[in-house]
Amino acid sequence: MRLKKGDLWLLGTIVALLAIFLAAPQIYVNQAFFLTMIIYAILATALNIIYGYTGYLPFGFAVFFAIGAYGFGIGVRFHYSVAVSLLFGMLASVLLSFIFIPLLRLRGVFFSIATLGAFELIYYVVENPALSRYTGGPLGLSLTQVYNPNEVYYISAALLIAAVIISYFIKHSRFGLALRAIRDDLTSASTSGINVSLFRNIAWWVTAAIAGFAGALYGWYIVFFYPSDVFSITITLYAIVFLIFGGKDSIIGPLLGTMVLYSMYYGIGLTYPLYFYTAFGIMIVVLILFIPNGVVSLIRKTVAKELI
Amino acid sequence: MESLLYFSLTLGLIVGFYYGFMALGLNLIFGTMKIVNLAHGDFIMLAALTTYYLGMIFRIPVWLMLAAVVPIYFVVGLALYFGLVRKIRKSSDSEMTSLVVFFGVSTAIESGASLLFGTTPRSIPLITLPDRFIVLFGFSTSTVYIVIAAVSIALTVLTFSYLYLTRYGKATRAVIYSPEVTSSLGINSGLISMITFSFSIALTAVAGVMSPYVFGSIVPSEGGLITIIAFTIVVIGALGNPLGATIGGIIYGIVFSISEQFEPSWTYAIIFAVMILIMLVRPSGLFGRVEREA
Repeated sequence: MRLKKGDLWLLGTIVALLAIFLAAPQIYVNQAFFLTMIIYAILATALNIIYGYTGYLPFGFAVFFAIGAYGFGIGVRFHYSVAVSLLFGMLASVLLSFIFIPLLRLRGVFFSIATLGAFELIYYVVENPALSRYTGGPLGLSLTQVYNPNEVYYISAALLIAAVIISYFIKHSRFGLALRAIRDDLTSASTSGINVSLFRNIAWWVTAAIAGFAGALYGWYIVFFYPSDVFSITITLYAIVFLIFGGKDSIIGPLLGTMVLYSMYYGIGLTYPLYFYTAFGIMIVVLILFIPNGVVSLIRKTVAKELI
Repeated sequence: MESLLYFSLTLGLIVGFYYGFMALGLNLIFGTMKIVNLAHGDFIMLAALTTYYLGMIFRIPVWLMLAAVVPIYFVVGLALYFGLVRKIRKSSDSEMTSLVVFFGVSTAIESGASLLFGTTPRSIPLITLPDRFIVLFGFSTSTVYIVIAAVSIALTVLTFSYLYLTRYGKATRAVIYSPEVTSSLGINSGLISMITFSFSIALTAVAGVMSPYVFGSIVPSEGGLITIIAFTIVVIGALGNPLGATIGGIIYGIVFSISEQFEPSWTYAIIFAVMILIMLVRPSGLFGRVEREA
C-alpha cells in the first residue's frame, strides 16, 4: 500500500495528539484540564461531520452528549459493568438521533432551532421528578463506585484519535464528497443521484455516536452530575465556537480551535474569573467577524490541503 | 375542574398577547435581515433590571420606564447595527454567522449584567401597576396581567399599523417578502434594516420592562431561557412573519397556562414537544409560507 500525502498528515496529527495528551499532563499536572480539552476536541470533531461537511448546525447538539452521560449513568446505576454502560451511553445517543431524524428535513436556522427544542424537551424529561427512579431526576446521578479518572483519560484520548480517523476517512471518501454536495446544493445533489436522506442520516448517526460516547466518558470522569451539568447549552456553544474558530470542513481545524481557545479561556478563567464570560463573549464576536473561516483558512494555501 | 380549565385558558390568552409581543422584535429582525438575534432574551433581562434599579434609586414609575427605554434601546440597536449587523450581512452565511456572533453578545451581556447587578433574582411588586383583584371563573388574579396585555396589544397594533400603513413599513414588508426584488426596485434596504433592527430592539426593551410581572422575577442568567421561549413562540407562529409572533404567543400562553395548572412538572417538556411537532408538520410554522426542500 502506497501512502498518500494526506495519510502522512493524518499519521502526523495522530502522533502529535498522542504526544500532547500523553506528555503534557506530566509537565502541567492538571488532568481535568486536559480531559475536558480532549472531550471538547471530540465534540468539535463530531460536530464537524454534521455541520462542517453536511451543513446542518444542530444547536441542541449537547443533547447527544448529555444522553450519553445519562445512558452511562443509568447503566452503572443498574449494576452493569463500565464497558456495557459506555455502550449504553453511545446506543442511547444513536437511538435519540434515530428519533430526531425527521428534524433533518428542516434547513438552516429552522433545523438549528428545532434541535434546540429537542434538547430542551429531553432535558425537561430527564430532570423530571417523576422519572427519578431511573434518571435521578433533579438530584442528578452519583456514580462514585466506578471512579477511575486515569482509565477515562486514556480511553478519551483513544476516542479522540478514533474520531479524527473517522472524520478523515469520511472527508476523503465518496461519502464525504456526497455530504459536501448536500451542503452546497441540496437540489443538485439529489438530482445527481445522491441519496440525500440516507447520507445525511448516516452523518447524523456518526455525529451522535461519537458525541454520545464522549458524553458517557465525561459522565464517568466526573462521576456525579446534575441534569444541568451535562444538559448545558454552553457545551454546544463551546463546540461550535471551537470548531468555527479552528475552521470547519477540516480535520485539524476542530482540534486546533479547541486547544487554542480552550487554553485561552482557561487562562482567563484562572486569572480573571470574574470577567471570564464577558471576555469570552467579546472574543467570539471578534473572532467570527474577522476570521469567519477559522484559523486553518489562514494557512490553508501554504500548507498541504489534504488534512487542513 | 372545568372552571379551572376556563380560567387557565383565559389567563393563557391574556398573557399570550404579552408573549407574542415579547417575541415580535426577534421575528421582525429575522424576517427583514435573516439575522438570528440570540441575545433577544438578554435585552429583555437588561431592560427589566434597568427598570428595577432605576425604580429603586430614582423612584421612576414603571409606566414612565415603558416610554423611557424606547429611545435608549433604539440607540443601543443603532450601535449594534453599525457595529455588528452590517459586518455580519457581508459574510458568506449571514444566518449562521449571526447565530454565533449574537451568542457572543448574549454571553457578554449576561456576564456583564451579573457583574453589574449581581445574581439575586429581582422582582418588581405588582403594586407598581394598577393592581386589583379580579375573579375569573371563580379564581382570583390581578388586573396587572390585563394591563400588561393591554399595553402589549396596543404596541402590537401600533407595530402593525406601522408595517401596513406607512411608507417605510410597507417597504419593510417588501424586504421581508423578497430582499432581492426589493433592492432592484430602488428601496434602500440598508436604511430599512437599520430602522427595523433598532426599532425591534426598542420593542424588545419595552417587553423587558414588563417581563418581571410575567416571569415572576429576573436574574441575569435567565436571558438564555427567555430567548429560547421567544424562539419557540415565533417558530410556532412563523419565523419571519410578524403576525406569526402574535399567534404563536397566544398558543404558547394557552399551552403554558393549561399545563402549568394541570401538569406543572411537565410544562416545558409539553411546550417543546408541541414546538417540535409543529415544526415537523408545518416546517415554516402555522402561518408561514411553505419553503421546503427535499
